[in-house]
Order: sequence, then structure tokens, then C-alpha cells
Amino acid sequence: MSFRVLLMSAFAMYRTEPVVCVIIISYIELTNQFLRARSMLVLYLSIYGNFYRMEALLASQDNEDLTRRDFMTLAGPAFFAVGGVMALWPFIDQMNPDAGALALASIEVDLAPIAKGQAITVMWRGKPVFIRNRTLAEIEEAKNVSLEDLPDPAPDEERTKKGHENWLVNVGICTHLGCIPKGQSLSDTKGDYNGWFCPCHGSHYDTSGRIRKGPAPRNMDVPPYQFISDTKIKIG
Amino acid sequence: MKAHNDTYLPSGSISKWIDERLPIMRLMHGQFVDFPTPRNLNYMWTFGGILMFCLVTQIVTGIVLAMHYVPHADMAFDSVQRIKRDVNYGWLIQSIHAVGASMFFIAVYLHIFRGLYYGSYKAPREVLWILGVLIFLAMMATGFLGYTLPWGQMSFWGVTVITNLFSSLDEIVPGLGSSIVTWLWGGYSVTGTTLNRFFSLHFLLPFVIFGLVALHVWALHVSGQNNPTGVEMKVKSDGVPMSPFAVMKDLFALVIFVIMFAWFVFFVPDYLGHADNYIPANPLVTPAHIVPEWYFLPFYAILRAIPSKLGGVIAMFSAIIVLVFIPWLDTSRVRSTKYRPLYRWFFWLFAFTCIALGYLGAMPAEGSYVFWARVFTFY
Repeated sequence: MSFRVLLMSAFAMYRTEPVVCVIIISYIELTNQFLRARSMLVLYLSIYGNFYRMEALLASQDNEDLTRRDFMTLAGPAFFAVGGVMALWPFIDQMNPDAGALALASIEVDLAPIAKGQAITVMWRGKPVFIRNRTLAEIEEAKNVSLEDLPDPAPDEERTKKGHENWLVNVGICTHLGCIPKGQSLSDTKGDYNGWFCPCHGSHYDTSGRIRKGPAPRNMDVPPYQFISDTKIKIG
Repeated sequence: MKAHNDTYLPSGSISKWIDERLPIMRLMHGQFVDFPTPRNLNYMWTFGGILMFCLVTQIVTGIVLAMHYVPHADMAFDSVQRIKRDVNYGWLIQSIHAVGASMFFIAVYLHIFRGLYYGSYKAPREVLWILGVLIFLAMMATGFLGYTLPWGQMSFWGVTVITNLFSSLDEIVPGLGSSIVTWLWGGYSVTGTTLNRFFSLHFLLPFVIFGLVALHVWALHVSGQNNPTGVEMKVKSDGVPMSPFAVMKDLFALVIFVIMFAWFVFFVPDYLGHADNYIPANPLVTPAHIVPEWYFLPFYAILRAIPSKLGGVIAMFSAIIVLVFIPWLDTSRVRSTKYRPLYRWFFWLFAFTCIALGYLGAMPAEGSYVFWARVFTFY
């Protein structure tokens, strides 16, 4: 692929049917995955080329209401406006997470060292993830709550994986205003429901990470994760 | 401001309300729509608008790059690579910024030579011209500071060499030059400290340029534009309103310019740079062949060619500073080179010398000779 092809295709657009333009654009699209801008440029040229074609078409119909000048005064600014918007996109998109941030999007965690009743915190996408190895009492407590008592009803089964009910994996961020709730270490206060307690505005979470009392609107989020072996999970 | 008919008619009640309190739209309309432009301007007069486009492009892309760049000796090089590889459209924005610097200088050189050819520096446009020289100086400083930031081998050694120019002052007052260099570096060699302050200044200077450009445009709109004949507009019919006539012509030239710009950005983004700048800065090894960016080559050639440290530095700076005095060095009362056959020869010889200096890199006698010969012809 070279500059020659670009020139040739621009020329073809000028002279031939728009169908041919589309074929050339798709050809360049397919052969140049790594240089997307090139195909954008070609697309752009084709739009410009078609303006001329349409203009000629209008002129040949001898339309008295719509002159060539009218068309050009509309098409010209439209061309610049479309181009302007297209040129704006890279400057907006550059603020989105970059490839480096996306590359950190999934992590693996070894669960073997976590004893019953213990919890650990791991970092995932810059956020803390609470992993708790729940005791039987805690699991029972979570399962025996009537859904009507919950502000954000969700059964415990939906928040854990079948066969691994003792493992609770939550994004450790209070759904109120983003603080990190207390309750991970043994000395922490765990709130009224034996789960977590957010010190910022007093939200209480239960042993399933569900909101029970306080201003938070939702249960703590469950991140996407799967067991890749009995003692290892992959988050993200 | 030159008197011309005010055709501004605020349409809505809101624009009327604003117009009575802050007539900014009326000012803009008067200066950029009704403003009389000579009807015989050629395409050499489109570079003002193109340069404005370049400045805005550099500022916009530069602000984006500053969001991702890390001015730290250990991280700067990697952060530029990260911009090119990881940041969404970073490859595009970085490339526009790097190529844009070169495009900016191409346009400014053509703009300066236009001024020299058509005598745009002569009364009553001396202040306009001097502001232009100041903008050029600020651009060179910005370009130099910016080239430091990728922190490759060429960046590092370019800074070392150029800042060491000041050490030539030791030949006048012993110790003075070295003290200045140490002050510039913030240490006893070029370090991350230097990089950090250069980043800050590189961010600042474009806004200084922007202010100077505003004054430059103001001065232009006081005296009115020169034209290829060098004869001032005398009657109203000598000019046409800036919009749509000059604006459309400028836009067309801008589109052509941007196509060339885009060709560099998309197809040869590194053509105007140097391969050695893809090697991270190493304070222990100097590249075998150290050159500045192409737009500094003529000046660099003057520096290298004079066999005296201080003399070279003085010659290089005077080659720039002499531009300030051109309105008074040139005593001819004819503006346009169209009507100055002898000076025309010297003009093209000068243009050729500048290119030759840039290309060959070592022809000092020729450079100074032609330059001064040209200046003397004016008498």
C-alpha cells in the first residue's frame, strides 16, 4: 500500500461511480488495519468527490430554484463541519483509558492462603476488591434474610458462584460516594450486620455485601470473575 | 484603525443587548469581515492565516500531549513512546505536534521572505515587522525547548550544545558564561531538573507567542496590508472586504497546506526528525553526528563555520537580530522588489544562501558575505 494507491483511488472517485469508491474504501479498510487514518482520509475524499458529482447532476437538471451556488454554499460549510467533527474525535478519545490501562484490566488471585473467616483486599483496575472466605455461620446469616428486608433485593446465590458459596468477591467501594468500607481486618468494626461498615456516611453492609442500613443506594458490586481452579480466580 | 464602512447589524435581541454593552462582535466584524484587503494580493499573502492555524494546532495538540507526558529524566522517553503506542489517537496527536513544528517553520520562513521581497517592513510597518521578528525568536525558543522533551539522544545533546553557547561569554568576563549555563541547567550538567523547567517554559511560550500575534495583527490592521506592487491602497475600489474574498482565498491555501501537512503526518511522520532521537538520552555517549532540527540548520551552519567560539555565537545571533534593523538598513524608497531589479538579484542570492547554509551546513563566509552585501546594496 502506498501513496500512489491513495491518489489513484481519489482519482477514481472523481471519475467513476460511487460504488467504485465504496469498493476502494473497503479494500483499503481491509488492507490497512494499522493505519486507520488513511482510510478515513479516503472516505473524506470520496465525500468531497461526490459533492462535485451531485453538483453536476443538479446543474444538468436545470433546476431554477436551486442553483449551483446554492448547493456549494450548503455543501462547502457542511464539508467543513463534518471534517471538523471528525477531527475533534481524536482529541476527545485521547482522554479515555489507554491501551496500558486496558492491559491491566484482569488479574488472577490465589485463594489458598486465605483461611476461614479471613478476608483480603486486592487491586483491580485501581479499585480495591474484597475477597472474603466466609464461615458457615456467615453464609447462613446471608441466606436466611428475607428479601423484603433488603433495600436492594438480591439473594445470596446471585452474589456467589455455585459450589464456592464460601467465597464472597465484591468491589470494596461504598455505593454511596465511593469510600472504602471498614470490615476487612479482624479489628475493624463490621457494622450492625456483621459485614462491612462505611465510616464516611454510615452505611451498613451484611455478610453478602448487601446494603442494609444507611444512605448507600445499592449493594456492593460483584466484579466479573471466574474460578480457574478450586483455589484460583480470575477477576475481569 | 483604518476607517471603513461598518456593516455590522446585530440580528437578534440578545446580540443587540450584548452589542450595547461589549461591542466585541462589532469589533470582530469590522476587523475580519469588512476590513479592506488589497484586491491584488497573491498567494504569498495567505501564510498569515496558515500560521494562525499552525499556532492553534500546536497549542491544542500540545495541551493534549501535556496530559500524558511526564517531565522526568527516567520517564520522559518512555512516556512519549507510551503516547505513541498506548494513548488513544496518541500516535496521531504526537505526530501532528512534531510535524506541526516543522510546518510552522516552513510557513514562517515563507512569510518572512514574502515580507523581505515585497518590502513589508518599510514605513509605516516597522513595528509590525519587529513584532514579527520577536514572534520568530519566541518560536525558535519554543521549538528548541520542545525538542528537548522527548529526551532522546538528539534532545539531550542538543540541549547540552545549545545551552553551552552561553559559556562562550567566559571569553568576555571569566566565569560569567559558566555561571549562566549552570543556572540554566540547575546543576552541573543537563539533568532531569533541566528537563522539568524546559517543559514548563515550553508550555508558557506559546501563550506569549499568542499575545505577540495579537499585537502583530493589531499593528497590521492599523497600517493595512501591503500588496505585491508596494503601492498603498488609495481609493476604496483598490480593496475588497476581507470576508468573503480574502477569507476564501486563505481557506483554499490552507486546505492545500493541510494536505501537505497530512501527508507528512500519515506517511513520513519521522522524516523531519532524526533517528538518534529514538535512543534514550545517555549522558555518557554523544551521537556521532549531532544536528539540530532542519529549521535551525542555517543558523547552526553559521555557528559551526566561524573558527572562534564567541565569534560563532555572535555571528549566529546577529544573523537573527539584524532582521530587527532591516527597516532602517534598507534606505530605498521603493517597497516592492518587483521594481528593484538589482535588489532582486541579491534577494534570490540571499534566499539561495540560506538554503545552501542549511544544506551544506558550512559556508560561513558566503553567508555573511551575501548577507552584508545585500544590506549594503540598499544604500
